Amino acid sequence: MKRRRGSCVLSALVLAAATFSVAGAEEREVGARPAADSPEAGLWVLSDKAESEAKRSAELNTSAELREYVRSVACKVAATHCPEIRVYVFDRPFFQASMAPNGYMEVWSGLMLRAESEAELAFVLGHETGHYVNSHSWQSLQAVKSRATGAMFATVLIGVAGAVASVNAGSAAAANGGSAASAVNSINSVTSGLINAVYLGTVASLFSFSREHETIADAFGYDAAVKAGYQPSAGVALWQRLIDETAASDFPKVRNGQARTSVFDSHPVAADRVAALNKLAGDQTGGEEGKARYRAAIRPFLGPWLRDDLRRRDFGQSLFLIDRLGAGGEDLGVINFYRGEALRLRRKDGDAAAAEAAYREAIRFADAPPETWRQLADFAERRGDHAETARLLQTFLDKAPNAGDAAFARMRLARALGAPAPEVAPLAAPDPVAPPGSPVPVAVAPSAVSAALQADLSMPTANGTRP
Amino acid sequence: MKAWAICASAIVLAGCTTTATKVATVSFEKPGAGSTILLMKPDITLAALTASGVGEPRADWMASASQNLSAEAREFAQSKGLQVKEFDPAAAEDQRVQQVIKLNSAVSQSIRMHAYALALPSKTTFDWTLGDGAKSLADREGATYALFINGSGTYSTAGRAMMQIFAAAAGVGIAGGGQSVFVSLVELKTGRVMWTNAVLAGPNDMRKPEGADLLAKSLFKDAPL
Amino acid sequence: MNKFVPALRAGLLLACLSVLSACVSITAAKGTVPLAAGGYSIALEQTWSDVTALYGAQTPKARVLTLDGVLLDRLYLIGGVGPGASIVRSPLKERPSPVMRADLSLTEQVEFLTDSISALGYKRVESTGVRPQTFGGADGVRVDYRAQTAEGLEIGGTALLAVRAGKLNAMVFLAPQEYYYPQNIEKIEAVFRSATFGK
Repeated sequence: MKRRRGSCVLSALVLAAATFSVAGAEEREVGARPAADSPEAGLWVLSDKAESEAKRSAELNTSAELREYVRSVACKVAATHCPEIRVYVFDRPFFQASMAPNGYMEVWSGLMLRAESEAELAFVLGHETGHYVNSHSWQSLQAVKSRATGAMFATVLIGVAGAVASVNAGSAAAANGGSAASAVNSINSVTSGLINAVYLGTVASLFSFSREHETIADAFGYDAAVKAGYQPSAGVALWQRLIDETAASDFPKVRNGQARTSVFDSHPVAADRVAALNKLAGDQTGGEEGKARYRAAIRPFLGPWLRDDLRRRDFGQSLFLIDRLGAGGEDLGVINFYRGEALRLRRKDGDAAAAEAAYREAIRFADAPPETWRQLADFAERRGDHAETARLLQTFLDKAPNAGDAAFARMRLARALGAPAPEVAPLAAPDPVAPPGSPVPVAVAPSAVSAALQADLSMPTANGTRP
Repeated sequence: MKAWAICASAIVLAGCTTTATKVATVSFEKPGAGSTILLMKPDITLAALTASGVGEPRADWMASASQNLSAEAREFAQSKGLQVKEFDPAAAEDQRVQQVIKLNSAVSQSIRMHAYALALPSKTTFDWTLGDGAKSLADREGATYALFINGSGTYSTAGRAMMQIFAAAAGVGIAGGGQSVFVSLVELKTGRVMWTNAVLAGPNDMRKPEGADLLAKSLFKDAPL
Repeated sequence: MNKFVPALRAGLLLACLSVLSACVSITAAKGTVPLAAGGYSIALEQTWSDVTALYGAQTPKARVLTLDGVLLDRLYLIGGVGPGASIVRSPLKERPSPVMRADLSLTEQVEFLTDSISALGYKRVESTGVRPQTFGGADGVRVDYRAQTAEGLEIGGTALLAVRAGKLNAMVFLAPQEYYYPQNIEKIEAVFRSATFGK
């Protein structure tokens, strides 16, 4: 969640833009639309296009219940603007919500996973509504336009685009995944920065908001959430947790940078924003939290969203998030499984043992995914414990007979059931073509395992039957 | 029409192209009089290129250009004795149709990259197809052919023109405005791309009916209808 | 928004021109096609286009072949990915690509390949049909894939991978499910069967 290249220039620019007069900018009227020949209409039509593409995006979360839930929360904080808002939830593992000038609102799964209550979600959506109601994207566009020379803008905009694109999940190339564009883009670092605003789905992304805009939006979000009956301290808690998560990152650059409330923000969640919110909240207590309701809404997606988060490969942050998600004592099967996955993938000293322990903890709970048993089978196989391997694989297959690798698991099960007693030491990688029928001990090296697999396919299982 | 299309447009703009029209090397039937052609809603993106280099999208330009080119396409098709049916890809409900339309976008981009610029040794003839999915579009809409129009570009403002002079003096090249249009004709029952044309608008302004009319003459020239 | 930023477009134009003017050539690939030294070779019955010069920067340990353009079909021939190396190059330290390790289980090898396909930019990548299959006489794993492009075009894929002397080799074919994947899968089966490890 960090920006690269040109961020210094852009920050300077946008800081300069902060002095651009916001005075005179009025809150938009309910139901207002810009005149067709006004420049603002251009932003509007772009937002319309982004929205129609979003409907077909590969990353759109298609759950109607989830969408309706988020929309209902957005409605509570948007008050009179509620009818103008259309909500789209995206399965993208970054903290992001934004609202385009035409009322098209995006919320990313990275945010949904990090908010811990309906009150926190309400605050963030209120914050975004604040940008919308005060036409901040339009102001940003004007501010950016009125500055400097074209050459400087080229650098700045390429820098922004590069930073933005580089943020997207696991993709080495530009946001336009899987297409020739992203492939060509990787040749030249200039082109690799090109973003596709339609993919990112928000016009606002290219025009980061000024510090002043962010403060206004924070205050608006706070007011809107409190008016809707939510707990006043929710915003503070969320921003603070983002700061803590940033500090937990595997990467020094991220740790030494600052937390950001949006992947496109040039303005971090600095201490002053948290202090300002704290001041507003004061000692007030009361107000709704909606913790249980919130968890119930996101529960079906915990697994897939954590899987996506792991793809970012910042295990420090993922483990921080996993710990927070498990703090309430719910969903511990899923959560411990993903703790195991994070540790297994991180591979620091001691992580393998910790991963196995996490998987063992997960299977104590009813919601442990079937893959937990398959992962435990890998550990048992490495140790040469055939009986345990077979037992674990059988459980996996009982729970997920149609898994993508079920056939493969059946092969391994057959081998574990039919394997002779293991030799003492694991083999080094042998000649890949093993003579059929020769007893091949269970070994750590994968090619040895596959050699064994080939050899044993022709052998019946120990009890003479096929699984 | 993403960054990829810009690159391809840039290639066209830079004059790296050979001929602008491409015709399928496989023989095909011209649609008989009275058969229906599906006119896909033109996908046009236009912006004002301001002095500072920021492109300002213009809704009104996009709407006019789309309308004008649509009208030109309709007029042309009707002049060839065809029935015209307009189709908005964004409104397509059917999953298969949506996939075929997305595939068409990928095929068009591939044509612009390889048929017009960097040739593929594995493809020595102009032989591009959407496959048999196009039939589902034919069946649903009762059409024989489909015409796709894609356009994008910018128009310089006066300030931009000044900036170009200034920058040139400073030794920095800054692009001026320019618009390009790509049109392709697909035979729906086979999915084959029968004909494409890539055109630089030049002085013909598609935002205006007269400009669109002149542009249409180059655009639909040689269209095998 | 990138459509409307001519400054970006100018940069892109320059980039495109430099790519073109550098005489980036797409070469033909037919018959026996060797991979990197000490790696495997495959046999191609028809002429393919080798677009590695154009698209290979993202996957330095692979050759990239296509018939109709990489948006429509692409074959990655990956070889010699040893411990510590990645299939997909990531430009950012803070956004790392999946890394090969010395002691990956077979499940983890498949996971490494699946995650690498995601790192190429495909969305919603899922592996199915994991099964053993020989790769040039070595024991390998065959996997099928389902994925989407960012725009939602459905993609089909299939891969054959094998670790040999501690290094991962993989052949990966990806194409739109609509027409291009089914149209070319037979050719790909033949290519997979033809793989031979040299020396």
